[in-house]
Amino acid sequence: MKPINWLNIWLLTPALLLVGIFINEVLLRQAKHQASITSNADLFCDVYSQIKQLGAYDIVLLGASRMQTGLDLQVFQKKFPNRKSILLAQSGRGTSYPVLEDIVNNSDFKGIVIIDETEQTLISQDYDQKGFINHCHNNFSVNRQLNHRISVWLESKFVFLNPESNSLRLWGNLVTKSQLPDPFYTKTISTREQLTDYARADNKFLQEIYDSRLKGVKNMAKQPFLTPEKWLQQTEHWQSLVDKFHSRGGRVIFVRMPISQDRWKFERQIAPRELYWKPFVNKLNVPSVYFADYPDLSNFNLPDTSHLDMRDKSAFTKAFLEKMSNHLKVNSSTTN
Amino acid sequence: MLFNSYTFAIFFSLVVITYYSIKPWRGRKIFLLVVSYIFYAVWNPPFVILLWISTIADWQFSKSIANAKQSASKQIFLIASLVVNLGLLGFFKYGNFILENTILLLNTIGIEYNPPPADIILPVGISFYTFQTLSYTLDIYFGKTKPWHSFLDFALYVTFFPQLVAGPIVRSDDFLQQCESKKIFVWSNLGWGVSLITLGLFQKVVIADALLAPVTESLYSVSGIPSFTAAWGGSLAFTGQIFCDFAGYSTCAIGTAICLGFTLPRNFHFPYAAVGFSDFWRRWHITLSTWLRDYLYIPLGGNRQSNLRTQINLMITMLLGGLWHGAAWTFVIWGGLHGIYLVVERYLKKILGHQVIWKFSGVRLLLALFTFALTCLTWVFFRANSFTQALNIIRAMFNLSSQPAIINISKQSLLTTVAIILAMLGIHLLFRDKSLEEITKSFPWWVTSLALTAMLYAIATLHAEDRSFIYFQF
Repeated sequence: MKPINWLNIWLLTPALLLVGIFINEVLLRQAKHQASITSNADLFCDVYSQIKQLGAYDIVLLGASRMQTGLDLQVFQKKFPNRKSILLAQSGRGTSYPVLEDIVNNSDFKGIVIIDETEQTLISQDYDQKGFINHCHNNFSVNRQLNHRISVWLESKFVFLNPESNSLRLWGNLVTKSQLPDPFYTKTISTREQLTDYARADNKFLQEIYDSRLKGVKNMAKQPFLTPEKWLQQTEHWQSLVDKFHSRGGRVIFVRMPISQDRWKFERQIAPRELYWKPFVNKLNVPSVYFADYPDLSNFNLPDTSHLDMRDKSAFTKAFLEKMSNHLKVNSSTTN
Repeated sequence: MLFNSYTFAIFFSLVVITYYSIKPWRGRKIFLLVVSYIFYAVWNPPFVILLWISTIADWQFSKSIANAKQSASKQIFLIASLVVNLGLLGFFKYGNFILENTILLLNTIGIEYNPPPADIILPVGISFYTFQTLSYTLDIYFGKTKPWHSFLDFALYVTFFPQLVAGPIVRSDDFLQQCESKKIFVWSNLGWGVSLITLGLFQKVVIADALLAPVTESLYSVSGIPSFTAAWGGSLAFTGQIFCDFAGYSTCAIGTAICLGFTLPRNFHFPYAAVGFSDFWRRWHITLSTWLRDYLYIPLGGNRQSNLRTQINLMITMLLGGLWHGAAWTFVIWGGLHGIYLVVERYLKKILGHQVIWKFSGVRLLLALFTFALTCLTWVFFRANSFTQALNIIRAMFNLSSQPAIINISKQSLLTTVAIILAMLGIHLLFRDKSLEEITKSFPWWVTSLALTAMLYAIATLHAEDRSFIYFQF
């Protein structure tokens, strides 16, 4: 048998590969796909590692996807040029209690924590957000950090590295439908903010999400919810944590991020804020911002019932910070 | 450090360039040893100490065994080596398992004993390097080999980074002989090595992680009763995933070693084309099955004693082989089932093996498919998070679920899985008696180039959630 001609093979292969990737990239860009960073545990840990450098005036944002899509950290930066803010909210992973628990018990941070929760998540015993925390403590090695940095840099430059724009989708659409795949309407940036561009979304798809979420809330409204007393009892786990954080000079602010008017109609039936949210924040002795108390926070259009469009992010954040201004004031007795 | 990471690509490129730039052979070996420790330490630096303990202990004990005049002294040193190696493995790998089962046992007999969980972190690759160092000491004890003259070579044998964390499990004779002569840079080695790395990454990143893992997880990551199609779809997906994940790692390891001028043993040889289970274990994780054969099955008596004793030896070997994979009863059941298959096969061969019918290719194909189906069924115990989950899936696979199914998988996932498994089976059956090198040589060079391009393109453009290699946990 003849020996294998490795020289020819490894001259041709990289050339063909570059052509293939170039075509891939051009097709995706033509279809308006965009580069996006993968929002995973490594990105979370990368941001979380910054907590060591934060001072008493700095801000940590916890919660879920509404926080990631709704708040614009550049607006924070403009409003408070000398204060840092980091986003540790986790999309689709329930309550942020495990993250606050780790901040309180395993860091020296004594600044401001803004927590986005709902009446449902405040009583949740679900520890999904703990997964990322464990990853930071056990797996986020120097090697992983380095690999993550390279990965983020490449993902921010090339569309073909966006998992939502993978080649299986590209060629699958081209072969079966003779058209390029529709671009995905959200993207993640290195601060972990999500930019939701509903102008890119397929209206039918969006309507389906809207209907299914609304149906879910409607069904929930038909079920009996906990009595306010029982509910308050089930939120008790927050008390000791918040007290501990207060005792070292930290401040906690709870927020309820906006939802669509249709959705709000049902959610306010399930857990009226006077009976649930307000007693909770009073008991904890913490300030709060509830979107429904402010028309300029509740009049945004939320096409999927839950998340703001990227174009509204800045205006919402400005209005949000205005409501927060008293709570975010620098206390002269607090040292950095 | 994972083969499927950017940092490994940079690390490996720098290692190859520096390695071949160093002139003295001893200098190169020292360099390889240092980078191997770095490779291991980036995961969890303190655990390098365990590697040192294992290396120094086996080096010393094996020398003492060789120097001992009396067999009693030899036995003492062997026991000391076993205590150190298996003690470390037992503590780190089975500590939690032993504690949990002790608590369960004590509670069952009415003794209240509930200590806090031990939370022991499993050092990556401990099962692999422990078996490797043990084989050296055992070979010296059994008189198969003599102590090696260079501690540097021995340390490199234990630590050689391409196979350190997930095999292949290398025998000292095979590796240490290769440390004798200086490796000269050969373009064809680099060409072949990089091609193998590409194939391994394709198996891991594209087939295992991007295409099959999500289907597997849709069955195993949720609790409840699966539908018939979900049970089969998820199980078939795991059958493909575990092969591509582990064979992918071994292929990358072999390719990486070839680039550095070393040859590692083959670890997989188209296992899903196996006709029967003895054939399966000659093709699946070959370096583990030969290790278990040489250091457990044969010392137990192998097939040299009575028929019953042979069957018992087989069962012990397979049960311990199952336990080697993980500290859970599901792994023991998986190993036990394979033991039963081997025992039954041995019996059937004895009474029916002389029939001419087994030589017909159609019958052999049917037997191969039957072996595959049983293998697939048995993987359920390997992957399941609990015995209950495994039973729920097995019942659903035979349409025997008594409760309504709540786990379903999409038609698209099912089709993708079936297509991949059929392609995999086809490839395994077609090339069952050939090596990768023979297959590559049978095609024109441009076909190989096109295949490599397609694989690299898929690796670059098909991304999935970042996953470690499954066998790292063993």
